[in-house]
Amino acid sequence: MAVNAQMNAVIEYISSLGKLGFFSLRMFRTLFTTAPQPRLILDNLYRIGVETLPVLIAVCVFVGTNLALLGFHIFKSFGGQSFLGAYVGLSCVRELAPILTGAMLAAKPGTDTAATIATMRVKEQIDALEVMAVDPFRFLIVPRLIAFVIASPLLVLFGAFSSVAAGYMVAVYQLNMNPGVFLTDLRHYVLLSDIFNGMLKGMLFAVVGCILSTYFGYHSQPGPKGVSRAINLSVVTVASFIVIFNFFLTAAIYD
Amino acid sequence: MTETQIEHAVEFRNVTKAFGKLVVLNNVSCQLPKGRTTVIVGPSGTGKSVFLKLLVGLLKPDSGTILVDGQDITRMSQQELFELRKKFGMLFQDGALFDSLTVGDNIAFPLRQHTRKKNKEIMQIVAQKLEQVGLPGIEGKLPSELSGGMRKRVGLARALALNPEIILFDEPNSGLDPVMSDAIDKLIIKTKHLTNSTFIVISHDIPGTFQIADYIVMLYKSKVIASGKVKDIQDSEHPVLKRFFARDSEMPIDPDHGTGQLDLRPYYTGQLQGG
Repeated sequence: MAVNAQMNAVIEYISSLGKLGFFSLRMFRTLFTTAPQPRLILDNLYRIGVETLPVLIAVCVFVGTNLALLGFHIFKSFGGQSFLGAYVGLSCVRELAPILTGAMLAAKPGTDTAATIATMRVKEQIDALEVMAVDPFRFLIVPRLIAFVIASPLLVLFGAFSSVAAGYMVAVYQLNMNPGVFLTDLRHYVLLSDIFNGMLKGMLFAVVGCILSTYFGYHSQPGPKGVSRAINLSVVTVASFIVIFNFFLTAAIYD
Repeated sequence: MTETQIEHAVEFRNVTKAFGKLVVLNNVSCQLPKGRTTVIVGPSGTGKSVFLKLLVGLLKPDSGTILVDGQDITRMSQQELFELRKKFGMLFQDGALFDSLTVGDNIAFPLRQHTRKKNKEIMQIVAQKLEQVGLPGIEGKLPSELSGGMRKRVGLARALALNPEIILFDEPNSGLDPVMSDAIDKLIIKTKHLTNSTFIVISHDIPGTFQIADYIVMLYKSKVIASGKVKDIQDSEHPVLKRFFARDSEMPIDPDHGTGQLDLRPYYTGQLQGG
């Protein structure tokens, strides 16, 4: 019996992966075969981009300040304070800004997406769309995907800038570092390709976040419990995926 | 196309649908006549909602064919299905109005999606449909500001927006008080007089059923146990039917324990009487 139950669980897991695959396929097919709906994309851009920006900047600022403080004391022990600019710059641009962007996107517009679509599923509004001959993928999912793709690299840019700027402020005004040293170091070690890679990474995280949050919302189980489970699954899966996936990406890009 | 097919808006042929081990519809065959009101009745959990979802292609049957205007919808691609669905209007149980849109935008939604009408013209149609369901002038309200009965009426107005050929009602009386329930039934009858559409109603509300139906299909234990004109069903001696319409909670657990079987076939043979 126990073996049977385990087998069933394995089969269910594999079939859910298959379902996710078909869902993503239909999403990209709709993206490439139907005309985009500018108004819906703009609406979503506002919610995904503009509304996420303040919280992202707030988080990035404090991550930047902490990095500078921590780095300064570590580097000081062997007299390498001058590397602080490179340290703050590279960690923020390459790693932290994309990860934090992915995480904030999962936490704010991601949960909003999962909750909205799950509620629409539970309240039969997605069925209503289909019966009214409106493709829910074209109407609900693809505009979000496009907005996530457009917003995420810009958010990474804002995140990276605010964290590095905050690190600079702490280094110069609190730790009394020479601003020239910090900036020269930064310019020397942080390349344009690092910024580009960071933006690309953020975009990848955003696409995965969008697929998962729409998927969990779209396949929500009935009732309030179904909606809360969809939100929960969406944010937990996306956040853990980002951290794990980031390791492989970093290894692939910089190794 | 034969005469029989023309007469029927919808035909189920040996349709079976199961979810895992649970067989919801078992070899169901029935024909729903064009331009009439057919009520699908049956106790809860007999597959009425699944019947409706199969009919609009939201679910695919495990076997059997479903014909809408003579076209087999089970073989259609997603695109063909979307095209076909423009013939349908559907009133969902709780209205299924979009929460973020106003009443006016909700009703205008199918018009904006499928027609090239100007906004002024669309708003005129919206006002006219709202008038038709007895709620003139509430275009600016949000669905959350409406009562259950009002939401259903707005849902009906939206279903009517594109003047569909087939209008489906999923439990139009559920969750309403008896007076509002009766008002909805009267509204369905009034709407029926205003359009030539085919009405298909899922219901377990007995007085309402007899009020609005031209034809009744009775689902019980995943099967069609009877179908025919209202009077035939009313006069039937079939124990399950009698108990259901008498609202007797002691319906036989197993239909096979009933005292004999009533066969009301042929179902709709295409010879509709009285127009």
